[in-house]
Amino acid sequence: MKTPISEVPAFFILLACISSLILFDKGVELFVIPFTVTLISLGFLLVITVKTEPSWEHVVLIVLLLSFLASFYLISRVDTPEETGGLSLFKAEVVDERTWGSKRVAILDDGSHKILLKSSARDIFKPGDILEIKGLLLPLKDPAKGIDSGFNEKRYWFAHGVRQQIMPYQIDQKTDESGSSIIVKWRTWLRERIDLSLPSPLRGYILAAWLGVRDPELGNRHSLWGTSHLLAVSGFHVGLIAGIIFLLFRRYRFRALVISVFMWLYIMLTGFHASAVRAGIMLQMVLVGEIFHKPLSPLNSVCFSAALMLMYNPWYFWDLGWRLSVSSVIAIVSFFRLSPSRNVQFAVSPVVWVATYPLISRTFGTVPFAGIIINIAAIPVFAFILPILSLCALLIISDLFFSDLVITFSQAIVEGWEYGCNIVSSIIPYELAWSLPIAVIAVNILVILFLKAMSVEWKRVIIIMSIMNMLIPFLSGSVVV
Amino acid sequence: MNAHGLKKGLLFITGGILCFLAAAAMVWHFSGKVPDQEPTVVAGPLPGSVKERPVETVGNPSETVWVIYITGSVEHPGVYEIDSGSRVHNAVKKAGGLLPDADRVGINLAEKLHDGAHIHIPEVKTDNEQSHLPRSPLDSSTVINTRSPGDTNDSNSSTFSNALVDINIADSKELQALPGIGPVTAEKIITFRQKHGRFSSISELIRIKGIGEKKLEQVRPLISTGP
Repeated sequence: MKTPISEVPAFFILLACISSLILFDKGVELFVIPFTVTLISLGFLLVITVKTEPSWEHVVLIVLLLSFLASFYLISRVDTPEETGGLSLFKAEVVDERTWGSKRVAILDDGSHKILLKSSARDIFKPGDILEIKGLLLPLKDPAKGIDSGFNEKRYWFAHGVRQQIMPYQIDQKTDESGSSIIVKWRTWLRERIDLSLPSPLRGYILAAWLGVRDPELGNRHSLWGTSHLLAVSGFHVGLIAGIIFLLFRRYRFRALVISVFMWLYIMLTGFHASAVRAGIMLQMVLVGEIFHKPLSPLNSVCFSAALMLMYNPWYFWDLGWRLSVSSVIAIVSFFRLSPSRNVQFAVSPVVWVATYPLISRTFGTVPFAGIIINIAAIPVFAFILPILSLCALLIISDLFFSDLVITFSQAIVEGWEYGCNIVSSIIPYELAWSLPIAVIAVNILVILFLKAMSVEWKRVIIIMSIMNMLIPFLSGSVVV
Repeated sequence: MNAHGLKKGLLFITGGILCFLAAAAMVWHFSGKVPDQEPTVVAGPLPGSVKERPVETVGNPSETVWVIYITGSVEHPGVYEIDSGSRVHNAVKKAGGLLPDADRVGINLAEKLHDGAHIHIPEVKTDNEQSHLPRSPLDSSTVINTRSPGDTNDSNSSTFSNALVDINIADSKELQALPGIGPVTAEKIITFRQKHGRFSSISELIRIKGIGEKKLEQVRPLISTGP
């Protein structure tokens, strides 16, 4: 039997990264943080280690050194001086645009910074538009003291690379110029085609799956059914693309390379969503393992991809997408590690429901029970119907033949699915509201599942859980509670 | 497991707990860099599902008087003291009311204020220097959080380190950042400066062709004549 450090070494790096960001959030002196998290990693390592292997000490030293360096790097990244503002005149490209409650927001890129522009619903800027803006540039502010809205807008935008907001006096759209980014052009072109060709609700599913664009109405319906993850580009979508490419090229010698190329093209097209990038890194590790005939531990791949994303952008730690993605995939991988039998696969839905309850209920207020039942069917059904719907959408957009018939067919599939979801949610209309004790229990279940998947003995699990639960008052506000 | 294994296991657990205790001691001793900061809680919801939150009142609730800064299309732009809990319309009233060209649709007069707020009242766009696009309602920009006076800026070529533009040293691009000043007017200001020397007061700008009283009042809170 392997030891946890030889099987899941990336976990200790991830632990160091997460601990560093929590301590930073708590206002601990910065120079102390790398030393403290190295001690935490070492403590965790010693408590869960039952036996040692040859060269164990060397592996421990390397992991601790990496933990220290990772922590040091992360702290230097997040402790940057706040951007200042002032009167400003600049030209920038709209790189993203979305609804924001009843308003709209555009993310502008002036070549060196990403800047937030909030506007009314009637101001429509398309990605790729070039704007010349005159106005007051301001740093994004932390929420006011004493206001606990469950949502920190500054950190949300930081996770998206935005540091400043523009209060415009004047906006001039340069109609004779367009952005230089090919990806943005592709996304804009595709979005226009989808908007113009596809009827609702098919349009919403295709926009979500192809471009990561969320239709607010469809999003509300999926929130009621507990299936919002189907509309966010996630590991499911990335895995589906990889699976389809694998089926097409399974006899081909360089299939891992082909899968990698298509997978990253897809992730790029979806706008590099946190969950898609996490899944991409994880799958890439599996593919690299296949190339070198060295299968990697899925748990290690999850931890490595999560830690790598924090290195790239530490603000992902406060992004709901990153947190949901990491916690749900840890729950899934741990569950299948403990219960590989196909007979119990239906139980993965309640496990993910429990693992994500603290995050979803804290942010949105409630979590529907119907999601437990619907999600048992959702993944297999969508794995089947999403490729069919995508094929139908391609036919409709290209207007090749029988478009009306294809539209009717695809709409029937979507409406059939939604009808089924409505029936289940009418039978189980109950929701579980946010509750601190239930959230603590849910986090405990997730951690126990993970530790058991790492083959940690029960008595050691109890020690870790006792320490973790004693820390809840300290962790309150930084993690989920 | 033999006695040696048990002893080793116990040693590891004890060592691990000691590491945790040492880490806790370090956190205890060195925490509090930002002692007054409230917990900043969880990650954000997915895009599109966020309910827009109104601008909340910040500042000390016990304060009875707030200081605010109002600019744009009001009779008397400037810094005023107002009662805590006031809203935008109270500030507008304090500044003598809206000018006829104020964009009454683009502002939310009922919006809550906070101590140190900067309120900018936009004017309805008419002249050819303005955008042909529909204007933002300034829902979020009606109340602008103030920056500390000593704020400096990175060397971004288009962003200027001070909120106030010094009309005696500003270049064309800096002047164009002012509302209602385009490249032609900016050049006129620079030519005037070269010909007649430093501006001794902001009101001297009225001597520039293309700057009327209205435009002068609009830019007055945003400019200075330097030290």
